[in-house]
Amino acid sequence: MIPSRRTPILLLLGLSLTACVPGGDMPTTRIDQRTDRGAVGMGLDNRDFTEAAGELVRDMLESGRLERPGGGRYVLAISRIRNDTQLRMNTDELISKVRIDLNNSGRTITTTAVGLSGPEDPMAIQSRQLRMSGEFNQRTVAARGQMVAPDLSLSGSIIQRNNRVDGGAMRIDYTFRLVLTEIRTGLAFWEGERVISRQGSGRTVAW
Amino acid sequence: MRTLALIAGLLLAACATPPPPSYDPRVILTPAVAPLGFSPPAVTTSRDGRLQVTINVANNLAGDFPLRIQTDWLSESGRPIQSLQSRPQQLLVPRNGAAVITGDAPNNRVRDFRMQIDLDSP
Repeated sequence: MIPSRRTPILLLLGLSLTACVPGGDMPTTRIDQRTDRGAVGMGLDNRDFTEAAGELVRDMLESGRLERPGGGRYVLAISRIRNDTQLRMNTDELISKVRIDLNNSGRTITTTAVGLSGPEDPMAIQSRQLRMSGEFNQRTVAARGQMVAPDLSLSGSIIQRNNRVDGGAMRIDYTFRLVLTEIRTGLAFWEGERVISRQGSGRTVAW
Repeated sequence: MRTLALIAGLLLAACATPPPPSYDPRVILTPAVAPLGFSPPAVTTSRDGRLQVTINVANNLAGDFPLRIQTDWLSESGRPIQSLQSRPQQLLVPRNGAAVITGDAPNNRVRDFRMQIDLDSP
């Protein structure tokens, strides 16, 4: 086979295409969350959720609203967290961080037996069916009227606002907003928000 | 003659600049933040029994100074308590200005803390 004049051109083209493979030469590494100083994108990453959740929990505890008169903990139900951004994300990422820290603070306890679209954990209700079973010691089966109704409901939203700024750059503001509603009265018990902003190339797309 | 030189050397060594006064051992300042001025940490307890730490920072430089602060909240046994309040925090100290570093313990079981203050660089 005689190499044609096109062979070197094809070879160069092939090599240049190989070079275009994204991150082809970057080894995979573990990231320590505590010392993570990696690059950021225009979208949201775990550090942003941690930052927003941390600030909001700090606000809640600082406000003193979670100190129950007479002591004890408030029972918290998780309501709807709206995702008003162009990002496809699971808002549980934010809420799970908030509820874990609130529970650990000793001020609230979360119910998993009540939820907007059914209980988060259906086992509490399901196990009540054992009342009819002769196979189970009935003293170990949950009796009627033992579940605790929630005092507070946690809802909120994540909002995105895009703006073109001077020089053709893009600025994106993400607003994390949480509301604690007292279920008995329907009044907002506490409200807080945290804004996380990004500025980058106008050619960047955030989703 | 040699003994004299040795004594002179020792005397000179004694005259060298003394080491800087030790800062609160609970706060670890990395060499990168040496140009800034830090007040001693003010440690108070909130109404609900949580530790709160406040440190004032002064920046007399001509440029803004980004800080990265990481606080470990320790239990009675000295073990770190996992919490969002231990996340790395960013703070920009403005040029010829000041800022306040604050830390809030996640609960009232916290007995001590370790705060590391470093330059925030990518």
